Amino acid sequence: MVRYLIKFQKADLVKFLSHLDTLRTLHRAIKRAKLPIVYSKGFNPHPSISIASPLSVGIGSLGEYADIELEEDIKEEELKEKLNQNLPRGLYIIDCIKIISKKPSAMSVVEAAAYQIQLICNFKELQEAVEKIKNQKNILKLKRTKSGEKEIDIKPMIFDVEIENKEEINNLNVLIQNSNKGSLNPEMLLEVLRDYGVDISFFTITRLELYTKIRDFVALDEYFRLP
Amino acid sequence: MVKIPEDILRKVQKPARYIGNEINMVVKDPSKVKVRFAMCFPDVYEVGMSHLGIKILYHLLNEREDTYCERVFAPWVDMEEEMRKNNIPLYALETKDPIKEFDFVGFTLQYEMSYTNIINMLDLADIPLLSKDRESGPFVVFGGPSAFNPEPLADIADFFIIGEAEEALVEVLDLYVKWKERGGERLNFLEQIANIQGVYVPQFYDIEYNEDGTIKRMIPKKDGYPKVIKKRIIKDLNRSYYPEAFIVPLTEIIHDRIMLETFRGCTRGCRFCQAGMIYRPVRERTTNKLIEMAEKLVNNTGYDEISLTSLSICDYSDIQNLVMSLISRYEKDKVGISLPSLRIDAFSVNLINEIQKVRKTGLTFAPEAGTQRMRDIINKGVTEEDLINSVTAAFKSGWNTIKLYFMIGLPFETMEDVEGIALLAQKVVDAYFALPKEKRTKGLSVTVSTSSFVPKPFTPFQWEPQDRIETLQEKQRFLKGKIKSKFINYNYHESYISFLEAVFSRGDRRLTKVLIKAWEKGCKFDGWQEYFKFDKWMEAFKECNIDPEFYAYRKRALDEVLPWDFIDAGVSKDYLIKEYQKAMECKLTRDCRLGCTACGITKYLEGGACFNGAIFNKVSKG
Repeated sequence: MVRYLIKFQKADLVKFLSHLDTLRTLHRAIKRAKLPIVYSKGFNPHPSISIASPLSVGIGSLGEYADIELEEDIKEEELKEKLNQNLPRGLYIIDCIKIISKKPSAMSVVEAAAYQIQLICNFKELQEAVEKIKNQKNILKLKRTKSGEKEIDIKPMIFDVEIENKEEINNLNVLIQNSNKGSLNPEMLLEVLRDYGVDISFFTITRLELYTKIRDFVALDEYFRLP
Repeated sequence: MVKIPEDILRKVQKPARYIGNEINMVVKDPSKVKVRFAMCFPDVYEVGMSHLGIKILYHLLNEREDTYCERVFAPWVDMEEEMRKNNIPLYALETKDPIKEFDFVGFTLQYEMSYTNIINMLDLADIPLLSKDRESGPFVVFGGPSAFNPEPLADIADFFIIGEAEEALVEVLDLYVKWKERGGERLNFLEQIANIQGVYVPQFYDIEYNEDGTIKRMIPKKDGYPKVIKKRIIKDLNRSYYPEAFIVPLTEIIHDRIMLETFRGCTRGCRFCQAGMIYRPVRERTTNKLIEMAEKLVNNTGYDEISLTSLSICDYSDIQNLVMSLISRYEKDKVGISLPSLRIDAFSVNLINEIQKVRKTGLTFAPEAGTQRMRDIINKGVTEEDLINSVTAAFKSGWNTIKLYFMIGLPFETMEDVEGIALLAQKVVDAYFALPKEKRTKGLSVTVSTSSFVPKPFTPFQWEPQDRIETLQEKQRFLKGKIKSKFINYNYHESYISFLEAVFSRGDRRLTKVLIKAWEKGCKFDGWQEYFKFDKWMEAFKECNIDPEFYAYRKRALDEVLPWDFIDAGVSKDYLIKEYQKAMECKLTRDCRLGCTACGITKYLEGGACFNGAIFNKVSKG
């Protein structure tokens, strides 16, 4: 059994695929490519593909990750090529990394995610709101859970916020918590901006990268390339 | 190209329905083709993408270099609202171009309750609803099983294709390309295709009515227009087109698997079943051909399940060999085989046992009626003994969940027949407990489902009235009261929808205005319980001054001119009358694999051969 970490993009319209749709689409691409995917044992065998961190429907990504296991050792480049030949437009494998050393699953090491939120809004309003986010001690928001609504403080989940103005569009670049201890949905930040008086007429969200933490935040592909 | 703003897609449920871009989607440059065809299914993406017929036609038409066929589904209500609000016309998934710009807009008619969706889609596309109002733009064509009674949509269609459309559609496109190059009147094109077998152009005919509202006669407006429209069939399935690479959706659809079409037609002759009559004769693909098809489809789709499709799968003459060959070929690749469980007998329980060695999910049986008398009336050649043997075999093999399908409101049904459903279900429970404890799996569950019978054209019951809604409801209540065992669940379909189905399945062209009126009142997605508005429908009938009971509840005389009489479906009216009379006498008609029953289809075919492709005339008993 050989483990690979694949890094892929979810661009264009395929960002409207759900987590399960994405998983199924990867599985079928693997089958069409005749790659020897490992299946779980038991009544209902499942292919060994696990996406590091589910992405909400409608959010694009330049840095998605999945662990896959193959029965045979295949060159990273070959795996990438075969998958790309069989994926729909918009889903694109950027990188394949063969994991030789014993490392935990990608899913278990993710600590943070970087997003770029593109906004059409008044830049001044945005600036003021971002300042407020930075200076606020707590930011309390209602979070919908299975058992109802719960108030949580999202401030400690915001690691970094930056803004840049590019003509009509404003970019809000954020690094926020994304781990099995809890993840902040970037759309919650939009709500905060609205609470702080920003009138948003259009937005689009792209996940840029996933990070783990060894003293500093390290991008997942970098981490898994470490010996 | 239509631009669908991202914020709309973020707002609606299941946005993947609207994006296209699937694996094996055909990509062409629309400026380089002569014909653009919008293949429409009047229901949501997940339903439409599960339908085999449009998959075949989509890929078939795209084999033509001069044609680009694209797909269109009904947007769900949330998306429709956004489209109307933002002035987005109905577009095709491939290019996102508005279908108004296309040459043809084709709809498949799978069930009557989708007709308001067709109207809604034409409206969303900004195409005039009535054929007479279309001076330019696409021709609107309908096909599919419900087109065997085309009349309720007569004023909407430019033309219909009756029967299997693969060849006829190609012939229509050939003439279209020439007509388009030459330039000419729309009428001129329609006159040309009216000579193609299977093509029906409703505007070429006048209907005269009797005083009592029945049809007096149908008159061609010109001498040259055909008096009878003969359905189309594909003679040799082994040589007919079948796609090698189905579109693989990016989001889950209802039948999310490879569909391997094993054969067409059915020989059983159940008297309520329209499919069993209109798809005659039986034509099979050979096992070798099917294995070859399966190999390509598995490679090109990446699906992990192959479903063998047909009307009655265990009647495939080489079923055992086919199933075993597929299992042994694909076991190691984790590709499973499934059978649509429609007609299950003891033989097939063993077969399904082979297929599902580990997981024993539910098994479905369709005795259709509760007493032997009633089953004889409908010519369902299944006995109580057959059913008990089958379920006993299933229980012994480890199944514990059984579904039983029945119809209520069948012709000549008595309360005793309805009670028979409860008694039969009880016997299934008893069969379970008759087994020693160690031989059965714990947790018995028997589900009884009843649907309300809808008389259909081209069946021996086409002259029969439907039971009144109140009667059906009474029968449902009565049956509920007769089911005592805690192991049996009973569920039933709403009889209001069945009533409307009965109206439109045997309706005439005076109903087009009711369809439009009902749509104006907000009726759409009528097949979806949550959107079905019975009161709006009744208002529409009233305002159009049409009595729906005339169509649903009236017993027709055998010599009445029926709205679909001008269609030759291959099965003769004499045969249908004979079968109707035998039903009244509770007499069975044998499966025609045991010997021809003279339904007329052999006269219809050149050479008169049934069972094309079958290796031998096997009939599985039961």
